[in-house]
Amino acid sequence: MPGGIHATTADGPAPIPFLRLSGVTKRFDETQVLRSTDLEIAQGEFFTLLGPSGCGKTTLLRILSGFESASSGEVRFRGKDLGRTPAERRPFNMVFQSYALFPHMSVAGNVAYGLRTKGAGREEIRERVRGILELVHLPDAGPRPVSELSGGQQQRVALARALVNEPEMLLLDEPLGALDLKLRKFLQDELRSIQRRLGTTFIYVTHDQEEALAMSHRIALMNAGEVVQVGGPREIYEQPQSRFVAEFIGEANVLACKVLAAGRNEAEVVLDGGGACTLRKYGDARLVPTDPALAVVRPEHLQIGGAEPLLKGVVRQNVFLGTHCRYDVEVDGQIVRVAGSTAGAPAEGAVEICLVPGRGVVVPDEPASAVVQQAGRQGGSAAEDADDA
Amino acid sequence: MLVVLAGPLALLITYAFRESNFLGVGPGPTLEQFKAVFEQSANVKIMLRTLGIGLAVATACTAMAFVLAYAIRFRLHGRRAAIALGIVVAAGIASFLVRVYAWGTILGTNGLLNSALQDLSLVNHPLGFLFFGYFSIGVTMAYVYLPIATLLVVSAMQEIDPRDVEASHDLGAGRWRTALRVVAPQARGGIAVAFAFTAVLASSDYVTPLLVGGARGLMVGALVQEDALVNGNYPASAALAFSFLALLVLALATIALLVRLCRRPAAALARLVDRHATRLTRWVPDAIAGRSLSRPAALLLLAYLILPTLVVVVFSFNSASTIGLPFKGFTLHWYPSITERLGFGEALEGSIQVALTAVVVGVLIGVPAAFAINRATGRLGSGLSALVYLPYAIPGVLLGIAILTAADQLGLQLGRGVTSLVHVLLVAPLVALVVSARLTGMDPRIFEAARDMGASPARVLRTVTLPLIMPAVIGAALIGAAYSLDEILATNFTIGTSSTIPVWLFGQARRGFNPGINALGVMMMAGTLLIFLIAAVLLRRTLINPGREPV
Ligand SMILES: Nc1ncnc2c1ncn2[C@@H]1O[C@H](COP(=O)(O)OP(=O)(O)OP(=O)(O)O)[C@@H](O)[C@H]1O
Ligand SMILES: [Mg+2]
Repeated sequence: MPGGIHATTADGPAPIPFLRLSGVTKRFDETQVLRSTDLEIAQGEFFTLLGPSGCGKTTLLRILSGFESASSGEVRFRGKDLGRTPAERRPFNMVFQSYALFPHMSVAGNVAYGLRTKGAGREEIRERVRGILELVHLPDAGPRPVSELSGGQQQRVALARALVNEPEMLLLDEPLGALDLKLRKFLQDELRSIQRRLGTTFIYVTHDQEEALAMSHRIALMNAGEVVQVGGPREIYEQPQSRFVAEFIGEANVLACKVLAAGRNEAEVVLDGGGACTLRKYGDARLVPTDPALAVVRPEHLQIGGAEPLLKGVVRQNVFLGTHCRYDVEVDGQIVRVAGSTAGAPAEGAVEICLVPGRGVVVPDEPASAVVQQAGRQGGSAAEDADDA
Repeated sequence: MLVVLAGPLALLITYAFRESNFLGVGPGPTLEQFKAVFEQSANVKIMLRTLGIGLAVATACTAMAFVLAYAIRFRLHGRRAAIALGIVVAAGIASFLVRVYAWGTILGTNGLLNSALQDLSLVNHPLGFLFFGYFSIGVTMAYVYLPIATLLVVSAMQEIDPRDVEASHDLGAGRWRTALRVVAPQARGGIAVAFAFTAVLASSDYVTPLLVGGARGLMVGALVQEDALVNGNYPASAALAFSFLALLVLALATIALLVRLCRRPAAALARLVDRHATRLTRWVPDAIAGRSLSRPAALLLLAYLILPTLVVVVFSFNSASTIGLPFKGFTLHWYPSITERLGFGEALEGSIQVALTAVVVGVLIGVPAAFAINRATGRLGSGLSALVYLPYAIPGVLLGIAILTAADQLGLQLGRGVTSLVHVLLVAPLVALVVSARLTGMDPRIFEAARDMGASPARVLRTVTLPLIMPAVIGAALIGAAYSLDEILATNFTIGTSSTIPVWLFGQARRGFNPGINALGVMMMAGTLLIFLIAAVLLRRTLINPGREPV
């Protein structure tokens, strides 16, 4: 992540954040769709809202775009409360999941719509439409009716239609959700490079964790209407603060353990049916000695054989994955996945599993109740109803 | 918007109630009129007969509609299914009055069938007893209401997965069994609606009995019409209409109850028959068992839908002034001759004025109503859509006398104005339905996208919403116009001393056969079909409407 991005929030006496959500909630009749949400987003950031289906990502995006109003809390853009600003007056544009192109207009008509609304001149419109269509690699599509375009092309028209207005912030709701894998990968790269080139702030919604990791500066992981962790892709991947985060992002072995001693950033634990080790601990995870906890260890943080064996098990399967291989090792009836090298003879039979020193995380046993939310890099954490004023 | 739609409807309902107050003529409500209705045994007899005919027609129509719909949905494929459906729709659209009249020319005392039989010396005097009476009424009504029944059943079958039918065949079920045990239960709702609809339409119809019923073919609708229009006795006609309506509702409710009570025994019986049928049909050779009966049956039914109107077309070119074979010679003479008759010009003017008013006002009410329906959710939404169907669920006769008596009480002059009001009640819901269907089919995000790009609500309406619904509005307006130009059941009551083409034609037709009527009938059918065709093309293009807009 480029260091400059958070400069605005990290130094200066009292910088006004680019976008700030404080205590935003949303309920539809009886269902609480969003719990109190606090977020701060910096200018130029590629910020991703990631989470399983139905966790409230679209709702949050629609509150930002102005199509839905928050039940409580406030959204401030450059310090100004957006509560009373209707969607058409907000300097944001949205790329809809269903594209929502105007079926009665050509590609150019669609792209020009926002410029026309603002009353731009004919020449200017023509120039900018041409420029933006080139940017999305559709230079000749202008006169074509949108219904003739393929899904990927429509997606790019939707992107162009939003970008051409040079919005302060672009909101994208699973824009690649309906596309096949290959096209999705291609457009991911394209979106990423367009964002880096234009420097527009992107708020990107997806439920695809790989997509989130590959594209974002920062990710807010959501679950059941709550933001459970915010951080850079690396941070989210390597320092999950809860079982949910660990399991949602990447592959993780979740092993039951007991806390022996807990420090500020580390804890010593003993694995159930295994040895003792020191694991990292993040956030304000409350870990007290003798409490049960969960050790979260990625497959590549484990290895077969080594100086300090942690677990003993039997190799059940060896899966070749090209760059590496994966051992499925049965330990006390639980399968533990261990990454291995493809060089040399594969391990077989009874093996000992070791931890790569300094890796692995310990998280509380009941992640669902301990909602930890870290606002960006500031290291500050806010409990569910903390006021961020 | 809601008020604009509900207002006239609520008004209509209160009018319908006001009538029963009005029965007393004096200050308080009285049951005198109802007593009078039931004291006359002739009245009771006619009511029962009407009910019988209504139910018989409904039964016949529903059975035929099921066969036809089944064939269209599951047995015919691609173009053939489309053509068959097109014929059904066209038959349903082509002028109601002319299609009734067609049977008059076939079955009448001097009609085609009688004259043919006489020419062939099979009989030596007209077989009036066979052809004019309840039999001919039944045949005509079954013909007239078959298209609407078929469309209702087809739309119910639309939701049945053809793979269910295939799966049933795959499991060894024969065609009959599949039709009766897989398709019929799933289309139950549509079949029930088709039955109730045709029962109501047929038993409240007075045009058909007056045109093909002869002296013996008296039905309630005709009595109501006579009481109201000939004798000017509104209370009596209202009492009669409401008594009959009550009887009809009672009968339909009884049938519904019986069907529900019999469902279990019927299912058991079906299983029993099934078991034995399998054993019995095992001896039927494969070649015969594999034959589809529904396809030839459907062909026959389609012929039934087409041929009578062809009679009208053919004889509009016959130079003889009586109907009958052989064909005397080709002439176009009848086309101009009918337009020169007394009253034609005035009727044409009336029709056009009423249709234009109805369409313009109907669109102005219907389009906002469509938005209201579309925006309303849950129970309110379904309530609103039910309200929209209301004018179509009320028999034309009832609508006619309701407005007639209401106009009388409010001191309104009958004529084109009041008739336009009635037509608005029929056109506005149609527009609302079509446009709201169009709105429902559109991604609501499209409108949000427009606002997202800075368009004010008014601008969204102008640049996105209106262009997108316009074809639907025009299509609905055209269908409304076709409907209005052909409406007679209610118009006959409200037009007063003025006239419209169908009312005028009805008068001409009642006076006896005249080849000019055929010519006018052909023009009316062609007109309604043409308007409908344009509407159909427009409505189809709304679904895939690229539209070009150069920058
Ligand atoms: N208008 C509404 N009325 C009632 N409930 C709603 C409404 N919109 C959303 N919800 C509910 O809010 C919850 C969150 O919905 P939302 O669309 O924000 O989820 P999401 O995270 O975008 O999911 P997905 O990944 O499937 O798009 C869901 O349980 C949904 O049923
Ligand atoms: Mg969503």
